[in-house]
Amino acid sequence: MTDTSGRRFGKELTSFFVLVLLNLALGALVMAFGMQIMVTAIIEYSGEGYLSVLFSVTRVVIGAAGICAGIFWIKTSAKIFKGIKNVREEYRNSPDPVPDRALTGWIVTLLAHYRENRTVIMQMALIGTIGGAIFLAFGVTNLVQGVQAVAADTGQVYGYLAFFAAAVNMTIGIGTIYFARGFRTYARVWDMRLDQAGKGEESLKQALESR
Amino acid sequence: MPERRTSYEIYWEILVYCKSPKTFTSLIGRCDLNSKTGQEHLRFLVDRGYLAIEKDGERTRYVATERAAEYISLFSRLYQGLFDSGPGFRL
Repeated sequence: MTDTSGRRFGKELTSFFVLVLLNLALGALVMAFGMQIMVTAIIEYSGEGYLSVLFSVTRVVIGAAGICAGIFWIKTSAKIFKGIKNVREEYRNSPDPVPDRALTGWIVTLLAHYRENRTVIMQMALIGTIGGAIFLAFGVTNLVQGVQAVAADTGQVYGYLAFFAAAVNMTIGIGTIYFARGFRTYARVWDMRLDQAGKGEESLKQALESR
Repeated sequence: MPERRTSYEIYWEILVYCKSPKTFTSLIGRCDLNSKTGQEHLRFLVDRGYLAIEKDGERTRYVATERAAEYISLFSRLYQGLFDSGPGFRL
């Protein structure tokens, strides 16, 4: 049993580890995008006309929101990462098949980690979905701008740049939604395990109190 | 904030750690317990014969009894079973 469970445990641990790592990188990317939007808005600020000022202020606010979201993203990903890093290192350094007690200990650690971080993981899934949708919307906007520029035959270079921006934004958007789905799946699987462990407690209780 | 570990998980950790005799201080340090809850859990396990007390001069040490093996085995079977059935997570 240990071998099968151990291998399955290892595969899941690696998958989750990669998900959290990629999510960490995505958080940094969101923060960088936020900074870029804000800095560009400040550099291009002309201060002429009410609409221009409003547009600049809106971009600064969006940029600031992106920076805040990125910081939150990195902070929460780092917290989740910290909780699984030690287990992964121990697992990688363990012999094959995994020793029985070590495997049970890691499962206990991950269950405790999930209980503690369940809310954060659900938040990551929600923020990821919203963030992904925003990036996709940016991508669609860039796509429309590109098509308009090329069709008008006025700014070919601008049109191609818009297509490039659309490709970048849409890739990040799809990636973000995919990661959010990963967190949701992880939460669903571990919710079931928590439930199953809770049901098993009855037999543990009986065993402990039978004397 | 929800409890990180259930009592059953803490019992398992204590019993596994006490395979060889351990002092109270090392036990609560290793199992990440405060003094009060550590005392409660130890009393529970000693009362039910899962832990025995060894006196070594001034020092009191705790060691798991043969009965603890039954609980450890049942616990491991249950928890490893979580990875034997049901859908797993894959990226």
